[in-house]
Amino acid sequence: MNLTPRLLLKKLLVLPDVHHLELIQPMAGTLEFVLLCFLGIAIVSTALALLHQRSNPALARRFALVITPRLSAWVTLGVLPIMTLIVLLGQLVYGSQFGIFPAIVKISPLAGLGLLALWRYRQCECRIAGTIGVLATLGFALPFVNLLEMLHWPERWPFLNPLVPNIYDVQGVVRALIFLVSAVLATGAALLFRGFVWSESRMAEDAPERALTRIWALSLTVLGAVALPALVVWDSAILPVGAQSFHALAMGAPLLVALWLTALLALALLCEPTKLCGAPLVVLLVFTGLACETTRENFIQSTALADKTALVRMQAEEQFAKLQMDQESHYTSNVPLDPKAGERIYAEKCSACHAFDHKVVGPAHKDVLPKYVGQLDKLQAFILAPQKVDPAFPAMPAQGLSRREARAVADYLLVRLATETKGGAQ
Amino acid sequence: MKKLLLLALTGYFALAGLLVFGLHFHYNVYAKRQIQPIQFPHATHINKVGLACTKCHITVTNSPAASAPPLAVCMECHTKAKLDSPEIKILTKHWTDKEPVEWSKIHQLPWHVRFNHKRHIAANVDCSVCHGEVKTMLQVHQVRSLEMGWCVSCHRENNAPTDCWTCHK
Amino acid sequence: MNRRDFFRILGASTGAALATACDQKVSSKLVSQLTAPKLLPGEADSVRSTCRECPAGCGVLAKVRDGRPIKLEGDPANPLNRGALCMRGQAALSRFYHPNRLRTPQQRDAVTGEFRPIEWDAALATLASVLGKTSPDRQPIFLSSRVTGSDSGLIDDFCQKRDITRRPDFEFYSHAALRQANTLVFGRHALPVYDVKQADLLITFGADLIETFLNPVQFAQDLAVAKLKWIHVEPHLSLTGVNSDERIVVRAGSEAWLLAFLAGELGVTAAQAAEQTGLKTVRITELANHLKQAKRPLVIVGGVATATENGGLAAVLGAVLQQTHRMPVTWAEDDRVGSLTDLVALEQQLAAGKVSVAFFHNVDPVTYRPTFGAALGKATFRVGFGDMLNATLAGCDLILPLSHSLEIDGAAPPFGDTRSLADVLQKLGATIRPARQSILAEAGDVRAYLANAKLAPATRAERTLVMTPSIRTYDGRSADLPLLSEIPDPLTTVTYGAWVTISEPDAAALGLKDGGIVDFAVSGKNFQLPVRLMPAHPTGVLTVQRPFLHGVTLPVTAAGEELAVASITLTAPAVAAVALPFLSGGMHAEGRGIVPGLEHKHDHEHPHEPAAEHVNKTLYPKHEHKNYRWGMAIDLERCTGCGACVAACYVENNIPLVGRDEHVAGREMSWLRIEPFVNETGEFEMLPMMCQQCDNAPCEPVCPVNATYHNREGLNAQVYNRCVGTRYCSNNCPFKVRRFNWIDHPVAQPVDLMFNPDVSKRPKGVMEKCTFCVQRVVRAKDHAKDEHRLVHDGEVTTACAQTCPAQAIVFGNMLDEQSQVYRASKLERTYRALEELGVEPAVYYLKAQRES
Repeated sequence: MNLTPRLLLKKLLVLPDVHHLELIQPMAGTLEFVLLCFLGIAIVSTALALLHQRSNPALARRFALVITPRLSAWVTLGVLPIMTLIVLLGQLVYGSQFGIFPAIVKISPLAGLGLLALWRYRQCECRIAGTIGVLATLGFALPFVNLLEMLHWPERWPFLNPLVPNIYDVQGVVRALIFLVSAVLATGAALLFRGFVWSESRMAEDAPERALTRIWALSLTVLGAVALPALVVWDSAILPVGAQSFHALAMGAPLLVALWLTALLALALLCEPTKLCGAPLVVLLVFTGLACETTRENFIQSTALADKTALVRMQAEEQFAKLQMDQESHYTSNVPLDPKAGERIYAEKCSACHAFDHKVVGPAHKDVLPKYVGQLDKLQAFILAPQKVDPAFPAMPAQGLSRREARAVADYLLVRLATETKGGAQ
Repeated sequence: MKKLLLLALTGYFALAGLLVFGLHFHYNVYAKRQIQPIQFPHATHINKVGLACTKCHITVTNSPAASAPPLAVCMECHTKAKLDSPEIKILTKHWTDKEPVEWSKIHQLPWHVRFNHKRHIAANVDCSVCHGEVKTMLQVHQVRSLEMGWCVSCHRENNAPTDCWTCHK
Repeated sequence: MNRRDFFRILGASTGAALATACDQKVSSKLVSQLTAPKLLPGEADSVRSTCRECPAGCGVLAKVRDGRPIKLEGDPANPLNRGALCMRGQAALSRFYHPNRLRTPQQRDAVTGEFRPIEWDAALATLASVLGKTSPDRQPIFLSSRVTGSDSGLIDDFCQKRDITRRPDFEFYSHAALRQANTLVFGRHALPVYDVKQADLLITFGADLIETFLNPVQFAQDLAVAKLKWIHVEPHLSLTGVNSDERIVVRAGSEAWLLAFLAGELGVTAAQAAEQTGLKTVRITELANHLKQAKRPLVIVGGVATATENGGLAAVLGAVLQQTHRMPVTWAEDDRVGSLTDLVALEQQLAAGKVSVAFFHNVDPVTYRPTFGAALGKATFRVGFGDMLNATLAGCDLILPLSHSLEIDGAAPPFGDTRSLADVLQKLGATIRPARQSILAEAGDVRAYLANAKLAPATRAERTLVMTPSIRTYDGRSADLPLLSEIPDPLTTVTYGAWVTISEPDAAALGLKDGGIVDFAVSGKNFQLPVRLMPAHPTGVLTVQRPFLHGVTLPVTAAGEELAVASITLTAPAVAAVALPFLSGGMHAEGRGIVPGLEHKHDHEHPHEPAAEHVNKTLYPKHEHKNYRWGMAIDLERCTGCGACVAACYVENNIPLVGRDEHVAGREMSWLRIEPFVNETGEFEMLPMMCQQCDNAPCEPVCPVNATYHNREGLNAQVYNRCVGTRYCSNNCPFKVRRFNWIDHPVAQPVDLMFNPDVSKRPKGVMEKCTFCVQRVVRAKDHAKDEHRLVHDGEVTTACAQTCPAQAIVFGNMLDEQSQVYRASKLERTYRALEELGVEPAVYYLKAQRES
């Protein structure tokens, strides 16, 4: 078989292999984590920066610099995940009538525009760019979150237009709130990190905006950490039946612990204006918590899509089995079969429903085989693709034999028929 | 003051944790998976044996109520097939002891809903639309929410009656 | 965002997620039977059986779902009732599920006197040993209620083999006078069957054709189709009387005088007859002329007329009239029913200690004659066959529980360890043999009889008490069934408890209102009962239903019937009035046009124009109906007000029984009620009123949650699970046909097995009402859709229409111009209730033709 690049691409992108399928969900989950954190931080930090630009430019600068203005970061953390996610999500719902793939494609220009504008804002502090950026990115992020939420409801796909945000159910609203609160939480942690932990961007001790930055960072963290559990519980309670899973609930435990510790620590730090010793831990806990939340979402997604993926997996397996059979028969049809193979296969598979001299489920062989005497090919073809012949008997199901196996069984059957009739006649 | 805040915060998170833990008992999907009297694998029977849904679930085509197939249908093949399996041994015991098999009902509609299977089959609604891809399931579980909004959406799309009394009488 | 989404986003979803866990219990097991059952799930089997709530014995078809009968309908193939079933018949199903049914044989412990359960083998062994003991001057006897056919033959064989005397079967209302009269005049010892359809003039004396006389279902059916003038003569007010074309009130006991005059016997003149009956002489001669001019007259005598001192004579005179005019009288099958005289003889035999073993089969003489109870104690051993404990069984030593006819006929597995009579007697050695005996008897000498007959004068007391059977409980045997207390007495609309019916002037004279207590004595026993005022009730007469008079033994007439008339003195003691549960708000139509033609005189001053032309008073667009528009037509001329439809509705729709206190509070639960209306001249109209399924229903726009709406087939739909119980709909309904579940109605086991699975049980806080049996409609549409067609006319019918003996109710598709209901709705005498309100009901009433 000629594996052209086109064929390879087709196989990888359109027809997922069983092993591919198992990888897609965790890959998608990781990318979602990265993308949502990034987008969330970008939106919230820019929004806060814009808010303070007139009153406190230094503080605004702090907010803006949570994400580096380096283009490479924006591309790696913003653009590339979107592109990859488009492909992955498309594969996840391959074969269903759900247009999530074209939907994301349609809204990704907004993401592009938004990310560009936000990056520009960091470069030049142009307020227009910042506003456009915030609005455009939000305009991408909220529908995107909504689309991800729709993945929990495969039963609704025939009726949903993926581009129309699903705000008619609380689930959509709760998901959006979770995103926003996570964004706030992440921004707080990122601000803390950039301002007080990361050596390169750490603020000077005497920087005028230090105290304010500190308060903002910690407050955002506390706010996020306290608001998120309620939303997570609410979300868990209103999950549809198809998406309920034990693992998703189990992820709630580390999530809550992380958030609890975050809240405690951040509050403690807030109360002590000078200390900053737990700041790295806070950051670590926040991102652990967010990772737990994304993993929880991932578990929910995979449970909700389990039905669909199981079908796709089954179809993939069938396709590959067929492929294998074709290959096998192409390459090995000249190799002689084990002479006992036909008898073995008969005993394994056929004797459940057939006997030679009486009806079991299917007809007795002595009644139906005589017409195949001298027609080995025809009998082999029938065994490979059985049709309903006699209305008195149920249809014979396909036994999944390869061509060679079928030939061996056919051979065995005819030989045995010959010996039995000869013996009977005698 | 600090102590109070600490207590309040801990209490809040503890409550959240308890609720999350409590939801485990409220979730019914995976809880139901283990309690069938015989582990009947739909996947095997549909894929390997090639049975159609209505070969065994006969009453869906001619009755408003669905039912589990009678044991006689199982015994058509299983007097001979796969006799070594422990599940078949349980089945055979039920048959010889003349004891009906009580399956746990997975798809349960509340008392105020009357669902007519025959009409849906007659309208060519595929079984997998409501029951999921049963051919992939080794044990049947519920994958659709079976909520009214979902039912009504499909009814609206397909010009089926949306009169309340169609289902609520 | 619309209202619905607003409610959602308000946060109902979490509550809903939790609430689904708190559902009512649904079956959570799916059972694989061994082999495919012959009935598809959801389909009903049909089993033939017999109703035993009165001696008529109508044939029923039991609808059996999942091995339990859930509804009884008349058997269309049975010539007695031809598909109809009366109120008692519909309620008979609840006897099968009665929690008080005896489940095992009971034997009285010799020491403590208490009953203890025993096994059948032990019981039969006891029986065999008791029968084995003979004594020289004592004899075993067998007393049964009316049995015919193979059961009767079995009893005969048993009695013969064991040397037991079979006494005449005991029925309290045995029509003994009629049997005697028929033997004397026609030479037939049997009950008569009257072919009302053939007559053009029907004169009934006391015979309550609609209520309990012989076969009320058959009479109602025949009267509905017969074209005749019907004159009813009675001393009181009865449902039969109000249904007749002309009701003549006479003094109690004077019927024989009138009959004598009409028959030209005993030398009674018109003046004498007038004097005795209290009528004008002109009236009497008019009646005689009617009789002469009629081509095919029919005279029926029975009920109160034969239960007086002159009762036997009245029956004979009636038979004479029937013979001379060759009236269409035929004969019912033979039975062994005796009279009260026979029972009195048995009582004397018992009291004299001449009875060894006494067998009682399905019979309760102690309730009707308490003196019998005392005499019963003198027998050596008493064996009772029955299904529930009654006064007689309570006095027995051995009680053998009988299976219900539904169990015997295979509609359901038996509840408890009951057997049929046939099983028991066969175990004791009897064999089945035919029990037919000739009804031919030697006719007597009518002339001699009449020559010796003496007419007693009619009762002229200041107050006469007339004791009648009950349409709800017959002779009291159906009082065990609570459904029959829940459904009101059709004429007075009283539900629970006993009462006495009194005329309005009499009540005013005593200063009594409904519920006020009167005191009177009958046969030495004092009774204090609440009164119910009835318009058009004759003054000086009080009516009471005989089953309400407990523990009194009344004298037996010469003809063998219990005296149904007594002179009493009535006092109103200083006892507080009780709250009498009656359901009629008022029997005067008050010019509202609910029943046209019954306007009171004063309304003619401000004439009411019910529905000359009405304007559609709605702002909403007209409804479009696709394929079906369900409608109903009720012919008030045919409707007798018997209440069979009400009972059928209760059983079909799982309507809960709410009890006395709720009725006193005005919270009845019946979806269909019979409203009696009367005008000043005493003309009654019985109006069946149910949800009118109005096109412009006032109840629909006011529901805040849209639990009630108009569906595409013209029905006003009520969705139970959506209703939140604001009751605004009921507030708006001008017909007041909506019923609210104020309380939960738990039922004892096994009554919960009686529920129709096609109809939801409504929980507390939910509004319900007549649905035109939409469950039947849905089923019919389902079957029709399988065959790719629409439902034909007559294919689906509501429970009320199905059971109506008079076939007064017709249900069908108004869009089908060939349907019965469409054609009925276009008749000239058709109107709709409260038409001027513009609600456009889907129920059409056909006015009774009334001579004004």
